[in-house]
Amino acid sequence: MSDNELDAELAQVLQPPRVPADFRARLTAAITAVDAAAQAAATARLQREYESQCGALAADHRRRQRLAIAALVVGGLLAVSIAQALLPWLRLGFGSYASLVLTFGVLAAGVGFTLNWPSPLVPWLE
Amino acid sequence: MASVAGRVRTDDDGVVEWLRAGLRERAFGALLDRYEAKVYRLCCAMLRDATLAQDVAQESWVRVWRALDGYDGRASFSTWIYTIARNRCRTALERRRAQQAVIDAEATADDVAATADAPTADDRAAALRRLVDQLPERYRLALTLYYYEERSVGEVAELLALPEGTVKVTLHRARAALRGMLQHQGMNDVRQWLEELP
Repeated sequence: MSDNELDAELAQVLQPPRVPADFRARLTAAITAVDAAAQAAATARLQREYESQCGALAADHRRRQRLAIAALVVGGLLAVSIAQALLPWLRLGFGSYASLVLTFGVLAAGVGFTLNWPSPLVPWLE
Repeated sequence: MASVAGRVRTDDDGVVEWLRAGLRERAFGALLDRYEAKVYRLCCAMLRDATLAQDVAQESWVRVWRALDGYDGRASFSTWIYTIARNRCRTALERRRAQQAVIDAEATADDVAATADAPTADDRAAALRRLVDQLPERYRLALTLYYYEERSVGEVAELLALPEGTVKVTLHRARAALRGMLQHQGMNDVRQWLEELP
């Protein structure tokens, strides 16, 4: 048997297969499905990120709110205690104006504290 | 050969330009026009199952579509696409082997037993095909692709990512092995076969 004979026989037996007629239609459908799935996955991922960030912001906001309220309560109690301690001494110096002086003094201290105290105790000034 | 390489390079450059211009579908269409049949034939040769080959070829092209934006141009499109297709075929083969190891072993034993007898004139083509199927995998693949690709050693080398010299040696050994099998099966008289072929 010669090489040519074997070659001819093999060429007849090993005919190249043809691409099925519906291959492109099926491929297009598969790509469309994959793209849709990828888009849905990307949308879901972005949605999750957005919700996660919103949750973190809300938690931070609540934490700051609690700190601010705590600061106000502690500050108020401290102011009342100081006023009670200072009032007799102020009466000696200012007489009947002692309450007024004390009120303005507390207000000035409060404003000074608010303006100069670093966050997060006063988040609305950030 | 150099002109062919130059033409391929130019074609690849055109597709790259389309990709840069955001014309992804146009670039993909050009690649599909150029390599669709070759990828399908590669899948057929590797998998020996037309239905599975169609699925794997489709899967390969979907991968190409998804990865097209990330194509870095380090390899030519043909090399890149054939690599994807070969890898998908290997994955499919491993999956099939894992699922049907016992069944395949039984079927192969049956095939060997069936081909032990000399073939009749009616099934001579099927018998030769069966002998080709019984060749070692690298021989069978090279030989099959050689005839699928109109006897182009260069194409076979590119499809299998092998040097052309290696493909030539493999083809030579495949033919020798096949000739030995034909003699062993008593099917050496090819002339008689050729006269009877339609």
